[in-house]
Amino acid sequence: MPPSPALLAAVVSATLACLASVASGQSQAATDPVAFISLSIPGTGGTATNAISFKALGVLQPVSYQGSADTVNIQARTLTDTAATWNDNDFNGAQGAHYVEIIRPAGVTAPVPGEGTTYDIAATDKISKTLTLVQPLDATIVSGALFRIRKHWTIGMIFGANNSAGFLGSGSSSTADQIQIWNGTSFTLYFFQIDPSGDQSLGGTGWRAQTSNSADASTTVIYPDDGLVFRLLQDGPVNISLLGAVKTGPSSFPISAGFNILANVYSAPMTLTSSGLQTSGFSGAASPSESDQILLWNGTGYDTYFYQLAAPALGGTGWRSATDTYADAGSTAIPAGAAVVVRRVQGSPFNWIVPQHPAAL
Amino acid sequence: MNQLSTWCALALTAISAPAATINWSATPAPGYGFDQTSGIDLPVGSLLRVGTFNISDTLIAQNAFDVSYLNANFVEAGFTTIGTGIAGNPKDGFFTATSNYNAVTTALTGRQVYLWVFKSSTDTNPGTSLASATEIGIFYMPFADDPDWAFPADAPAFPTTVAVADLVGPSDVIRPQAKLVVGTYGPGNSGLTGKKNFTLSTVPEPGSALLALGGSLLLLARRQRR
Repeated sequence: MPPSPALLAAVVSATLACLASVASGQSQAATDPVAFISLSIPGTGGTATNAISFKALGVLQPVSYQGSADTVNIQARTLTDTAATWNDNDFNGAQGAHYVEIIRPAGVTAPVPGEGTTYDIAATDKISKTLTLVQPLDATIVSGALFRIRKHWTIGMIFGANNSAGFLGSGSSSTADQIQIWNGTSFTLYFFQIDPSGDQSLGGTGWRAQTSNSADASTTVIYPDDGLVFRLLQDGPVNISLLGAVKTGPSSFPISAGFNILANVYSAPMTLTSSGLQTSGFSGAASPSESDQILLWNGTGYDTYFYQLAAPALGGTGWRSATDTYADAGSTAIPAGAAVVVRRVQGSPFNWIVPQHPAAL
Repeated sequence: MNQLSTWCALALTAISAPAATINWSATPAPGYGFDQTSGIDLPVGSLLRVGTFNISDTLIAQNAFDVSYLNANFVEAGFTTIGTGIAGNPKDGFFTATSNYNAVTTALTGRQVYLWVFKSSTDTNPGTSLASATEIGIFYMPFADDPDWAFPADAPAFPTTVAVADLVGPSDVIRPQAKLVVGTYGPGNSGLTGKKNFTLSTVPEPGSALLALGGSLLLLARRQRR
């Protein structure tokens, strides 16, 4: 199936619906603009064996809490907010998975240490007013850091615990539509299992990972920066509408050696130039095979981009396509609702600092 | 199936979805391109193919004069021409291209990537280039040394990116692992960059090859009589 420009253009329509207060049960909740995202996940159209697409959710859960960390303990991975109003386990366990994001205070124009980095919450303590985090904290974060907490999206929240989105379910992952999430070394496959026994004795009906036909996968977290790869077998598209908070402020995503699949977390498009990749540590080279690479899915295959370092007569320095090493490709779009593959060929891991898109809300 | 219909079939295969993707190039930066045996840069329009061979490197080298035989043992992922991908100003000796192929029907997944380069008397289309080849070069880097030189599976498996520059190490020295199955590194340099080019080898015309073979047999017969 050749790529259809109209289809590609219509894959995502993101609308800044209004500026509104975000509902929250916490007294310290902040306000965020909200957006309505429509994701159209293409089916095969009856002309191919399967249809692949790379998507991003493009909106976040509302802010559940915002505060200031009076004490930051890097070693213990804790943030203590003496003004906290939370109760035990408000942001973990039965309340669902939540995460902390370090943010820049309003009115501050210069970057603050660790801004945009995110951490899962392992424990929420009422008495000590402390959050214990899962991942190691950025060592540059200092006491007084401003942070906000949001709940994570899950597979069940986005696609419906009973597959209200309308994916093709089946008794086997190989005959069902698949949602694939990159784990750093391979894809983890999820699908909606329909128990073939009729009495729920063969694993039951519901969201499952390919690795277990009985474990409920509906609570699987979809991280804000997770790029989602869909592999549909059904002819028609799956259309998903999502109302959520617009991501504001810069974001920071770890880029590891090898392949990374990352979402455009903003509700607006960005370009290779505006993405901040090159200024974050993305390594260029004279040859596309030696440079770090950006891979964009075009509907049938990948378009590859790299940052060329060359004299003007040999193609010049700047973003280039693997199919044209002379034309400037810096304006190549990473649409809202899209995910990109970042291939780190050179050097050590780095954090991709993504500026807010659009710059002003 | 004649050659042209083969090319048409390959082209149709290339646009079926979802595909596997390979990016392949010899770009002005870093500067290693292709030369004719005369030492002149390979002209714009010359055919290049990316794929794999079903025969050993030894057999390829022994049959370098027999393009039909090599073609019968070649599985193609894509083709392009010198000058492709150099915006508005094609350069002799250089190209950059992306090819999509069906990894299932070609059974290329995990197999060695080869670059097969042609100098032909007629470059009207790939079929005529193949039929009128006067020089060829076959180059690759073993995927055991550079994993990018193995063909990837169909998407969502990630694409691979290879460049002829991968065969060259620091100080413009050819890497010891590089395979120049047919052709050489140098001696000529690129007219654009001054860097060493990869040089093709002459394909003797069938008549010449037969004369050479006949001469060898005659000499052998004389020696046996003595």
